[in-house]
Amino acid sequence: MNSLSIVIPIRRCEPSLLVLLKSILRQEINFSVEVIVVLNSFEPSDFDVLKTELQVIQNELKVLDMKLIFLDRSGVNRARNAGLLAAAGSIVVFFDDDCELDSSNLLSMHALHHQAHPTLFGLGGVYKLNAEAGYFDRLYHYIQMRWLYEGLLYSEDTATRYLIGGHFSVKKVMTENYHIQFNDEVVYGGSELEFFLQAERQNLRVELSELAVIHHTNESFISLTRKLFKQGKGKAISEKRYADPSTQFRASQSVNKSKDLIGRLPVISKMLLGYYNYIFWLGYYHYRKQLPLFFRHVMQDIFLFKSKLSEQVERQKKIKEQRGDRF
Amino acid sequence: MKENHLTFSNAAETYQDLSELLRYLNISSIAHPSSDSQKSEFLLSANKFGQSVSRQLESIVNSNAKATGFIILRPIGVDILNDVVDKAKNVHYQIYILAHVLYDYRKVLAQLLSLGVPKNKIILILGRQQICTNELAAFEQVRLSEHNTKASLPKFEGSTLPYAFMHFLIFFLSPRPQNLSLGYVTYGHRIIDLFYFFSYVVRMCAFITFYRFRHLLLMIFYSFRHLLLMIFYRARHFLIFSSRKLWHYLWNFALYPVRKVFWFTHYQYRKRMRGELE
Repeated sequence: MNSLSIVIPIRRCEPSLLVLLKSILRQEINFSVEVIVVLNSFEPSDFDVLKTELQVIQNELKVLDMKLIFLDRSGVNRARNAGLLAAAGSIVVFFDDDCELDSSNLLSMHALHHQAHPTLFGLGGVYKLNAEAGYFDRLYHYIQMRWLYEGLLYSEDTATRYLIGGHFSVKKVMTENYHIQFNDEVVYGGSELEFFLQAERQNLRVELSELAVIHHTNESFISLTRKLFKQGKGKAISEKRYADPSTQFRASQSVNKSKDLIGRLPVISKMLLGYYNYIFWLGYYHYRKQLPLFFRHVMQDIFLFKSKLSEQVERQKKIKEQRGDRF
Repeated sequence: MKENHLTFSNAAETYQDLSELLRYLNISSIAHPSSDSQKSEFLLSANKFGQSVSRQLESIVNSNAKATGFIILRPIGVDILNDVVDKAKNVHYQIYILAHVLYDYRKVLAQLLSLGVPKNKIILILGRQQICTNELAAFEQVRLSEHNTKASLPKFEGSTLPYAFMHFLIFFLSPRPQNLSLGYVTYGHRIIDLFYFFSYVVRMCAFITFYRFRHLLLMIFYSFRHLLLMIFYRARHFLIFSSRKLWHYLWNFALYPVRKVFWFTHYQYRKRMRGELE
């Protein structure tokens, strides 16, 4: 018999948390489920207010077995570790507080798949946008999903290198046996990467499924810039221990890699994606104190673009020469 | 370019009707020449945010242990549907519905939903020109790329606009010899050319997309610029001789009221200079 623990790290009590908890109540499940809400990154003066707000929610959803954990220090990874430690279930599912479970079979799918595959370490899913998502939400969704699908190891298999932090499940026993933990050093952004890199080192299988949760975001130009800068920093932190020799050349490659899909987007979106790509790598090299490398990548990209442009012009010229001109 | 493709490969024409259906829907079906291989398989390769993901699919005609999905191409019986629903309890197993006009796929969809299949388990495979209604938008979709059609072939890269525009200009700019009188046939041809131009404009307006519209504007601008440059460089006399008569009529008759205003102001000025006007 399975038992499931859901860990939700939160920073402050937002209405989206209630939406998530209500959607968990709507799930069709045959086993016991407990929800662990871990509060972190709050000011001491707000503590009492937050506590009463959460207790109101707890009273409202009495059917749900809900635990509250209060941490005095900030950090989403700290909260996840605390949740993992407190979890009583054999399978631990991690959700972000801005998610909503759309389909009623999601949790049972996670549990049944873990039951059927005892050697499987983690199972993750994708995000889905709601109908009212804005332009920058769509951009953020695109960036996240592109990163997620880049992790796939083979095109015909579901095995992947990493999963997205807002929607995945792991077996608790395996995290204990293999000593896998979230890195407390990362406060926010790119926080889950190192967790899966540890699993990859120990040859544990992680799978990406088509299961989806709705992701309610409210992004703007500036907030997204800030977010990607932090994510770049998070990547740099996680690569301190798990270094990857090919990292140096990724900044310019990541633009070229995704050109197949970028070709279909409007020009403004392409430019914004390029901008956010640079912001990510600026965050990365800023943390590593290697800013000259960043500027080198930017210059490389510019020269690459220039050569591509000249190629295009020459092709057009050749066509015109072959065609002949009436005048 | 990574695209979405569905391919059906089977041993030499084992399922002829099925491959004919797929060929009609412009989906590639490969018939292996060797008759000993009884395998037939569906392979779906889809572009997922820049990464190509390929899935082997099962259908009524083939079953595959490695398959991670079942594809429905025609209306199928309830027994088979129940089996599929059982298999779909696996996380990675999806139900694909090929949506085409030759059967009522909405009926199949309703049937699946009534059997308790959640919406996230169903994926629709749409053709290039399949219209997606609001009711279908709730399901995940894979839109197939064009395969082996005239439209997927490399196209003529330049715009046809300057050539169409030339027909318009021929009517006004082409030189008319002074001593020779042209036959009515020539004028007929020229008028036909003019109609060709107008029909071109109508066609462009009817099937215009944003990209084409922008392209059209650019090409109009460049063709005007090109014409202006070329006219003054080589064929200036074309313009002058052909439009001499036109200019005469314009200047002396059509623009007469406009010129009158300037004459009036000019006389007023002269009167003032002479002191005739206070």
